[in-house]
Amino acid sequence: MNKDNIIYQLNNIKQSYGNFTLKIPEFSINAGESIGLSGPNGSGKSTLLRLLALLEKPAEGDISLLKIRPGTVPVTLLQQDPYLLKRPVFDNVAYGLKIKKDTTLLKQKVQKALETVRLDPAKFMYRKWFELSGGESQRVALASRIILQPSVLLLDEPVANVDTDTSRAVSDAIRTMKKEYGTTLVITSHDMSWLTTVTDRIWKMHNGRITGSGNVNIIPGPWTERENHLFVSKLPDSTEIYASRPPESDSVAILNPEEIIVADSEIENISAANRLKGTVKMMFTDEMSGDIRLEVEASGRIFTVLITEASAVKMNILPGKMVYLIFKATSLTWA
Amino acid sequence: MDYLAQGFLNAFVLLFNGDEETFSAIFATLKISTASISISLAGGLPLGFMLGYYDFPGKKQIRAFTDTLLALPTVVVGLLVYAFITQKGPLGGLGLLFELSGVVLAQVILVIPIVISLTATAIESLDERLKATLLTLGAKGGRIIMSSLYEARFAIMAAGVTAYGRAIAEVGISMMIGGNIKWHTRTITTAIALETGKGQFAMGIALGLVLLMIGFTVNYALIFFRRRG
Repeated sequence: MNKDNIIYQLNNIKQSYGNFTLKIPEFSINAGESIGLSGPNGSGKSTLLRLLALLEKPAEGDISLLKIRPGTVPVTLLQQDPYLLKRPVFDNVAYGLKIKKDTTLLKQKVQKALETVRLDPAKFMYRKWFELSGGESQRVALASRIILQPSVLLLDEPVANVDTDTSRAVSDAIRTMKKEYGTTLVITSHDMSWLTTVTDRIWKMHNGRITGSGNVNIIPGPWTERENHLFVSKLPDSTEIYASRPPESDSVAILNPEEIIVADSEIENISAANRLKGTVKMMFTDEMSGDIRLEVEASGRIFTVLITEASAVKMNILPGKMVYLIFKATSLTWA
Repeated sequence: MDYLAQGFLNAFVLLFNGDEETFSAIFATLKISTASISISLAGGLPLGFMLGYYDFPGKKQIRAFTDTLLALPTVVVGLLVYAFITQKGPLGGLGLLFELSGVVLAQVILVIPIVISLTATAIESLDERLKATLLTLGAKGGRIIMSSLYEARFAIMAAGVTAYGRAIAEVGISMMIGGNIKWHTRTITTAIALETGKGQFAMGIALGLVLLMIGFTVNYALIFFRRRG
């Protein structure tokens, strides 16, 4: 990472709510980068975004926001299920600029922001807040952030519960912000396939920790010791996953997709301790690696696997096909 | 029932002929209620906002006390204010007794808890995502307060209308503090009480109709603004 280009620097962050603690020893984001955050509900994604938006101060540690473009709003956040002010669309979108007393060419700026999120200004500009559908409200809320041309735009689950048109409009708006204004983006989503299309890097979060980057699979503890120095954790259907000794009994294991071998039939005599039978749910071209990314449901959870295009063709991999996932206990590393 | 029909007829005559005594009471009422509601809104809105928006030690107790004052009897307010502004009272030197300004002071005491309590409720009912939304759009300090009040505008307007209704319709304070002095501190409600006691229904009905008309106009204005969004 180029240290001169860092826009966010997080050090020894700790933030707690009840039993939950977000803990990030060190993390940085480059200016102009588009970062994805993925992880289950309650993993700390929204908490991290609120800290990055400077809405909350961490209980411990510090967050530095550097490299702000002069004259711009440093950072703005689009919350999950965003709130629209009880006023017409025009006033919602123009609100931030009016606060800054930046009212030159206001109407044209509002029009452009609405066009960026694919809303027809002639049709929507003077609509009341209660005359919008859920997807339209989401786009108006996004337009009210886009118009500010922030240095950093944080988006919390921007395509959760929206229709395909809205999802496409949000994706296009994200690309426009990055291309036209060099905006740094941090986006959370459960939808890994969508996230890979709009981000440069994806970080996985689990239980308040950033556990790894890219398409890694996360396997939580608790781990119990078995014979031959192996430790096991149970998947939702009680299938056991074998790993080497964890640092702590509740450590989170990381399994890189590249470490998983895919077979189209069961292999009996193999040294790898872990063999799971699963079904291919989805397959995509992975924009980061250029390989084929498979989402395989096995033992009650989804595993991400990367295979080459040639392997996919050779094994005739298609959604719905039954496959076996094979990986060594030593393939699991610790977060 | 003829006397009632005759009373209505005479009431319209008094109103359309611009009877000076009748209109003196109407103007006194409008002066007092406008002044008292303006002062109550100016003081009550920020206090109500603070009570609803911020968390601080003793908030629950203050809230309970303010809510209790919603049921304050007008005669009790009249009695307390009278005791303070009478010649022997601590504020006797201000010469507020039997003056419109004295009635305004007492009505503010009556009405301000309504503004504070209903504004606090309106602010507490605001969507919890509002503050974060305003902050992320760049709002700070006073702008957050103004925008939050604007978001709660319909509930706050309803609070103002409720408070105005209480001020314009009360009798006890106007009678005790104002003294019901003809051409001076006589208001619509004290005049109705007096004239009805004397068996003069025409003026009472005329003033009653005006009171209802004011109430209707204020409520219609609220409905109008609500429809406009």
